[in-house]
Amino acid sequence: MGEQGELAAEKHVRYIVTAEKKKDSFESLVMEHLRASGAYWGLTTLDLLHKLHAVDAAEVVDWIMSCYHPESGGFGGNVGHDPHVLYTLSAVQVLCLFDRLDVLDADKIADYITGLQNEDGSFSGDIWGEVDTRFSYISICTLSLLHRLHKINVEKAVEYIVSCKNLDGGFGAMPGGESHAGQIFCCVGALAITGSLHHIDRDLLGWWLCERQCRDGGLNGRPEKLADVCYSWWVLSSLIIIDRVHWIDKEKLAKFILNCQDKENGGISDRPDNAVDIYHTYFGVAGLSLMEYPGVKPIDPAYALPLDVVNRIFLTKQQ
Amino acid sequence: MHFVDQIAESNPKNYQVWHHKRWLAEKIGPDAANSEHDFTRKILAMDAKNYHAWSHRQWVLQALGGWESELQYCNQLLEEDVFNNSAWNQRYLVVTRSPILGGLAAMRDSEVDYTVEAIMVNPQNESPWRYLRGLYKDDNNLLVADNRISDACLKVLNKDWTCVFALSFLLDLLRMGLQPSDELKGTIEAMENSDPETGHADIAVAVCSILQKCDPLRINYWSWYQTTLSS
Repeated sequence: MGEQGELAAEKHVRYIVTAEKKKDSFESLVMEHLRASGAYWGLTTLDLLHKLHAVDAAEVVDWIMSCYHPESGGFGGNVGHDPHVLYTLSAVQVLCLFDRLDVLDADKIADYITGLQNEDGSFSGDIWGEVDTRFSYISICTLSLLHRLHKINVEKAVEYIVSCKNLDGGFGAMPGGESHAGQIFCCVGALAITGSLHHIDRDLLGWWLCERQCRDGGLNGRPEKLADVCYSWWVLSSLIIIDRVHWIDKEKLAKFILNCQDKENGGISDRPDNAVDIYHTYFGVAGLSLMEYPGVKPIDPAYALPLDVVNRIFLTKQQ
Repeated sequence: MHFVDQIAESNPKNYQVWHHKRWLAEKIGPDAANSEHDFTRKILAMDAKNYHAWSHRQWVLQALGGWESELQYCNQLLEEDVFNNSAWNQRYLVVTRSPILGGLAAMRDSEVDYTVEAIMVNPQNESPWRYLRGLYKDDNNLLVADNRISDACLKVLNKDWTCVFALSFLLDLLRMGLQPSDELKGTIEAMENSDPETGHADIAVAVCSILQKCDPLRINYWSWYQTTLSS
């Protein structure tokens, strides 16, 4: 590959580490309410690039725990923000990276999530009741990482996810919702973690997913929309889970992702020549990881954490 | 609700605001249906594919009603942009779930005509091809027997033999048991410059190899598809 087709790993590491420190930058302000997720995106990227040690682990763990609400068992997006499952998963994932699950009251967190499961098997995001298959994935993923998946009604959870399956083989946010790659990742990931992939028509969904590849090599999230680097994750991980990733042109996708880099200042954007952000930087690197790009650690497609982190959680003695 | 609407208008991709609207609308009840539909219409006029707006609109329909003009609304959006997959998805919801239209079986005939027309105007549009499949849901026999559909594939291919959507649909029809007409065989032979084929399985294989050339991004998919044709 020529100079154009290289991953500017050092630049991306510097971009992330600097962004983490600049708490009053524009990007920081815009991200304020979801800083916990920002931490997950940034830190996982660092780990994938073998640079997790570039940040102070103790400092990060302390900050994450300052987002914890001991009364409810959930984490907020930032210090003082109300708890929500979105940030609870991000917090648990960050602690997984640093192998610090010991600081958690796993039972209390499990209770928080269990309390958010509804009668029809769906999950609310928080006490205000919004329902979305994203929250099904988040709840299942979090509990699985904490070895407490059995605390929810798994059968009903799976039932609800399957009710969101559309005729094209894809999944929406709720029954009848348009198939969307992000929602598909959540449903496929959740079904994978719960051992329920037999509910998926792999050939049908695999075809819908591989149809996301556009002429420029990038992937979109729904028919007739533009390619966006984040779908390099949502579509690719889904394809890998259902064992159909060979149905896209991986080389062209890798070229697309690499073209979305800011090779001067670091970071990756949604499409070439746009402004970079932490979110797309993570998804670009994660996508390259799924395609075994040299120098990038392998990532688990269902848990969205480096493979060695996931192995450490599941192959060593349970807590 | 007016206060929340103002916030939602300037932040149409914020999940929490939409959920708050839902919470309020639930408290107001069926009277909220019209104003909620007006509101999502406004948001969709700015971004016709806004996933939140569509989720909200679907929730309002199913929880509070307002189905009467929904099909017409889909018509309007598709007239503005026939490539709007969200509108096609909504159309499917209306056709299959509206309590006043009679269900899929009752609507199927007119919907096939509508969809074939949309395809003729813009064959390079993924959505109507998928919609067409959805109209026949689990009934492959009915799908194969509907001449309008195989005719549509043929018409498109006669104008543009590289149209991947038409080739792919045709391939599925052949695998489901479509007996190709002489005209169809002729068209495919012309594409492939091959000798006259006999059984339909060979025609399917021919279409598959054409697809591998026309849709190189997905060459592995079409190669796999070919292996399923051996029976």
